[in-house]
Amino acid sequence: MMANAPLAHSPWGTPLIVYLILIGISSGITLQLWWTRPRDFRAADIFEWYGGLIAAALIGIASVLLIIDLGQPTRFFLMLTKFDNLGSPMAVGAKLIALKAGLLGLYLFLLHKRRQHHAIGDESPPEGVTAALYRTVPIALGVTSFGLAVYPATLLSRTWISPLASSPASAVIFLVAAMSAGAAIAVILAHVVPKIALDNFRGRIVGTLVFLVAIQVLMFVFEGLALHGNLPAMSGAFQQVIDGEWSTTFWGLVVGVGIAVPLVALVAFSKQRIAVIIGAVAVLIGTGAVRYLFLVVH
Amino acid sequence: MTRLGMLIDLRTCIGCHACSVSCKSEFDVPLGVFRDTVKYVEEGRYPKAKRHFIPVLCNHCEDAPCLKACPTSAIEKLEDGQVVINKGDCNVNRFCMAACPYGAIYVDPDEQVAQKCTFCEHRTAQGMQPACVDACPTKCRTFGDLDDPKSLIARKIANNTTRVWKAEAGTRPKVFYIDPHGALQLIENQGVQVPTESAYQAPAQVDTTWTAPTSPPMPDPTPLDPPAPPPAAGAATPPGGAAGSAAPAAPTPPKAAPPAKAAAPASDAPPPVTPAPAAGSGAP
Repeated sequence: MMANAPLAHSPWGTPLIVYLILIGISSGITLQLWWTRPRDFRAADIFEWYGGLIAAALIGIASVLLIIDLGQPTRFFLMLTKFDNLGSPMAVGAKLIALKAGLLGLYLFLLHKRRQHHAIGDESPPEGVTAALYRTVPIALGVTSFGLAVYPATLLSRTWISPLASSPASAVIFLVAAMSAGAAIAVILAHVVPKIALDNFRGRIVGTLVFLVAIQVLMFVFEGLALHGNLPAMSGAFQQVIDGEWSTTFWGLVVGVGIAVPLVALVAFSKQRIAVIIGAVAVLIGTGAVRYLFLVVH
Repeated sequence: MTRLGMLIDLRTCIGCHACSVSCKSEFDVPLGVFRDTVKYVEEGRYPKAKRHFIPVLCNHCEDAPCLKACPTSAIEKLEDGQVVINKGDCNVNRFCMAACPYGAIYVDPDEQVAQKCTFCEHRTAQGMQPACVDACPTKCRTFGDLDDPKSLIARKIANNTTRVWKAEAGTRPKVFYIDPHGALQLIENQGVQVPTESAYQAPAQVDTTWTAPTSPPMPDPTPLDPPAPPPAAGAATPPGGAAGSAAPAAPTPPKAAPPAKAAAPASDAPPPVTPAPAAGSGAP
């Protein structure tokens, strides 16, 4: 039930929900590529290559969804070329997505060149402009990914659609959810691509994912404390999630599938490959459900 | 500097919808979406029930959230304070619709751009009043320069207690209401757009083919008894002509009808008119 809904239906539908979920996963993967990574440089190359490809594919799909969702798709470029209104989160977000897409393309090109050198046994470090690019592009990617991970919270907080996004904890929830999704993808890669699983990388990446899932629990608690007893729209939305219309989605998908299943699978069955992959997939479902709830609870 | 605004006196609005109809006509607004409408809100219970008529439209806010939200800068505020949408720059991302707390913006299904009330900028630029103001038969709407102390609207606002719709949104609307009964708070959770899906189907969705009704056929009407033959030549005819022999027998009631109902048609049925024979004639 919408507390303060001036329109009968939200102006944004399924395409935008999927878009925000994919942007989050793409951001999380990119951030994860440099947080917990294989120590062996060849394994790191493979890990970054697959991770970068997945991040690029997701951001490409998300961009197509955003363009298709527009009522005038041929005018999508206006969001990139107009700089009059940088006070609009959507204007900033669209430019960040375009920037990240370009940086990802450059990064994958550099990575491809590096893998070619390593494949022929050339392990000499790059020089000049190439060396500068190898240092700066990952940093730029990290910064843009950080921005894209939290930008949906800013976007939604400016609307009547999402009272949940108006709380101070919402941006952190979006960031942690994105990083959890990225870590889940990294866990799957580590258990599916044998060449990455060196030097106990599997153990370290599973540990990172467990840590992030635990952080999510903490953030949900603080989000609840921020919403409970707050303005009617915000506390009403909180009640809908806890014991109202959306309680089944929250307790079932977000808590049950997204937190309980991964914690059991990743902690109790960490040596079993199938259980770990199931746990990682469960994290992806849970983080997607978190973003979904932010968009549908009014 | 001119700062255009509107004052609506809810004491004299009669809910006639002349304003919303004139707006629809002025801008050829498609069916199902609204730039201006009138809310009918009921309050209380019999015998103290009340009905309020509340015209609502875009508030042309000083801190317009739609303008701040638009990523393509399609929404701008004119010099005299009117907030308008430039159709050429709108790519229908609908962030303005999500940001507006009044539901004032809609997507025009014909032009595929976001649209809303413009305070009739094309009319006010020529010194005319907005269409809704001109159309109102009770003159409950006043439009003018809020910053001109001599203007009618400024004088009315100075002399009356006024409110704005959804003041807590912090948008500083420029549509004011004289609302002594506190009716505005009854529409705190509503918007300008009116859900019309249940009441209206767009023409393209209306099935224009006609099919015969599928209800069971009506039973054949019970045939009336044939009228009695005219009296033989020379036989006396009772006065009143048709009351006696010429009167038809009561129609046989349908089999399904209860006996009580069968009597009613007989008593209610007017006797058929038969020409009375000439007095004392008896002879053909």
